[in-house]
Amino acid sequence: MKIYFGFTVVGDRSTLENARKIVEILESLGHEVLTKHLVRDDAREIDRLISPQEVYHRDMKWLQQCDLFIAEVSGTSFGVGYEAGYILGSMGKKAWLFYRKDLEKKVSLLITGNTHPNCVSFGYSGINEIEAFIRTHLNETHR
Amino acid sequence: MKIFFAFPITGDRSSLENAKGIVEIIESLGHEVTTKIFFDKENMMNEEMHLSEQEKFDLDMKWLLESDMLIGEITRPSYGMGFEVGYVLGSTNKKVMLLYHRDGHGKITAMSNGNTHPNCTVFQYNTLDEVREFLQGRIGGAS
Repeated sequence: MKIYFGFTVVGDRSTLENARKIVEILESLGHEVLTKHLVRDDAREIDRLISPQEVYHRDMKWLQQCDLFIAEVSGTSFGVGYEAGYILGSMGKKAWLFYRKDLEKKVSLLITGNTHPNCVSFGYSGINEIEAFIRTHLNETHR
Repeated sequence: MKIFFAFPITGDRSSLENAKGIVEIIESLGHEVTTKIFFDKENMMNEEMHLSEQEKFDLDMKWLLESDMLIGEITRPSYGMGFEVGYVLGSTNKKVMLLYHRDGHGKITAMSNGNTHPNCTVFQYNTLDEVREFLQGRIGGAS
């Protein structure tokens, strides 16, 4: 599958290592991550090479192309929120939102309270829980 | 018109004074702000409403879909505002206006300042007088 992985570029990137591992897990399972540059240390510099309008167009095109949206949302981000809202509002695709469980009271109500039928929010304590979640749910999505 | 005014609930609320000023401007132009509860009492949505997170999400979506337009103060970007904006632009034909103070420029994401969606307008301001003038030109004639 083609997967759009959302992770903040200009916001709090303190969960970057976890985000990187999520991308590794998805690739090890044979999936294509369209947005893998977001987990590089120089993601912001890469995005600055093109205009904000070009970034917007590129990201919207990837959202159209992807089969599934997954995001690490522990650090608040307008951009990742926008992508999740847009995909749930318009595309009928599934969105999985991962956040650090110890930050449950700090992340947005629109993450922890999301009742959209295509959205799953998952608070994790360790990367192994994410891996187990992905393995289980990707199999279900495939069927 | 009914206006959904978006502002961070659990995130950085340091632009609160400007946000309150913008709500007053919207009301002085004869419009109703559906999300005024965010400003009547400090952080009321989070602290004082005895609703589950899911109920708060559903209430937020209800206000969003009942409103005729979304106006957001996005100087301090948040996931929740991004979600609301993406959802409205993705699923409806409603117009969105995003306002940010000049000081926040470096933190503004490509999903807002690069946004080329035909229903989305982004406006950078320095003073509330500039916001008043902008909104007067856009929504000054309706009530």
